[in-house]
Amino acid sequence: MAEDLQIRISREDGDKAVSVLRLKGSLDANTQREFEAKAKEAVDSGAEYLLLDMSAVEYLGSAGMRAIHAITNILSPDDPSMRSARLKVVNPSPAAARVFKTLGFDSFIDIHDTIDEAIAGL
Amino acid sequence: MGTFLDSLNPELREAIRLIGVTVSFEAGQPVFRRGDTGEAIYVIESGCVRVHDGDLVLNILGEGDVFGEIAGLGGMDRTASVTAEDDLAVLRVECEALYSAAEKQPRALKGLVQMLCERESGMAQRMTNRSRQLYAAQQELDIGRRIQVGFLPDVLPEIPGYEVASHFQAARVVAGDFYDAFYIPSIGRLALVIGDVCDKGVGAALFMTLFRSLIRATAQSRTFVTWAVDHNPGETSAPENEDHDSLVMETLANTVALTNNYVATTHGKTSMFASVFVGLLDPKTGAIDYVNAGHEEAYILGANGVRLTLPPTGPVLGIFAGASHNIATANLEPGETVLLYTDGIPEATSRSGEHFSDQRLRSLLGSWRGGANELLELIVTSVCEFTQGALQHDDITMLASRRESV
Repeated sequence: MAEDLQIRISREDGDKAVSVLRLKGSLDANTQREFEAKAKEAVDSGAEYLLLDMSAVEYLGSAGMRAIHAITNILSPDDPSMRSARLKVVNPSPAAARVFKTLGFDSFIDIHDTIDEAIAGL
Repeated sequence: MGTFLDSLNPELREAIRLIGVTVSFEAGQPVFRRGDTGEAIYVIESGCVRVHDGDLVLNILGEGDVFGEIAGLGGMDRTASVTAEDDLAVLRVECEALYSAAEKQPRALKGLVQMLCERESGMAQRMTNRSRQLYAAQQELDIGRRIQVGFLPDVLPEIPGYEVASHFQAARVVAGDFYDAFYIPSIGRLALVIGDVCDKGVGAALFMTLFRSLIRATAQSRTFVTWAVDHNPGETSAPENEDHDSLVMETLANTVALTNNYVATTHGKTSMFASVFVGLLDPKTGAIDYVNAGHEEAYILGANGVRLTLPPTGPVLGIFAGASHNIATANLEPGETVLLYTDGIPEATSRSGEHFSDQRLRSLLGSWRGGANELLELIVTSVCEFTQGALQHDDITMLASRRESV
């Protein structure tokens, strides 16, 4: 089990200001603060949309899901239901996809196969 | 100048004044960082500094105070970082030069030893104070834990023909898991509830009490309201009419919807949610009408292990206002057991970092025969053997009910 989380951020601006966060490792109670801080940094520096590349997420805990919800609240403060969230998930690992499905987040967050597909859908 | 130099013997004070060089720093500028090699001690002439380890502030020092003496005089790496809080002037005293001066003037050396002993004594006093504060905080947490345990049922309901068993083991002093089991006289059903609030610690514990209370109060609202009017709790029997089934469904749907929408609209900005399984068991027929709100699959165990899984029928509660949850129905046959558990079981972690896993749980259940209490004991024993005393990362909670064979 991975003990920590690596986050790489890049801008993929086209028509819209988009930041991609590539996550590797464990998104859980120990790493959620770091993840939230990085995502907030991206929003503060102008990103209107966030794409979470979760292909290398080895463990996703409920604290990580809470952080994802908190970030959608930052992106769309008037929409607590997440339905019009400006956050998209890209290519989740099997472990991450299972958590999205079990907790029912997959009904409220768009999950795409590729970054290009996610950007096209914005 | 202030207190530190005044406290020294005249020989050492003189040596420091001769060797010391005034150095200035701007607000926010580091004087040194943790891990740097210590070569000097510093006496603050004006301004103040923050002694810290990253974001954790250990001390604030002002005019006349000394810092950096531990690593400086010991020639060790700095144990903490020091940063100027405002515009700062310090007297920087090279330790090698100070030692050379002390060799020539033994009374200065004595002064150095005295100074270090005084610092040591002050530090011991601070440690004692910190320990007192820590003890007080631990006492508070302990009170919290005891109050929280009161939010779990102190006795499990006794239903003829059924055995109900539970297990609860918190990963931290206060926990986010909960379970509940109570009989609802107005609909003649046994409520079986298990939940897992996201995240860990005190925040999860506060929300655990909220979720548990909302579910219990809503599911029994008819009983509580009747009690207020008639003053005879528990005597309301199950109505034997054609509306009975719809009353059960209504109770279940209302319990889930009210809990979800209340938390989502009142506390949605905290992003706190819970995965919850609520089942209403009919003791006469073994029918279980349930909502699984984003929780682990529950199991119905027959003679050959898992006969049926009860997967999620909707999302977690507390953040998705207006979310819909389907009601599903399963049947508990005579001799079968329904098992509810939280992810602390499959995610229990061994010393080598491996998870206990659903597969291990299911294969364990395949070879099991016996009662509900024995079942939970078997699972706890297996998980303990697997983890071999490794740190428990998550709460472990289970609730099981066995329907006796005819």
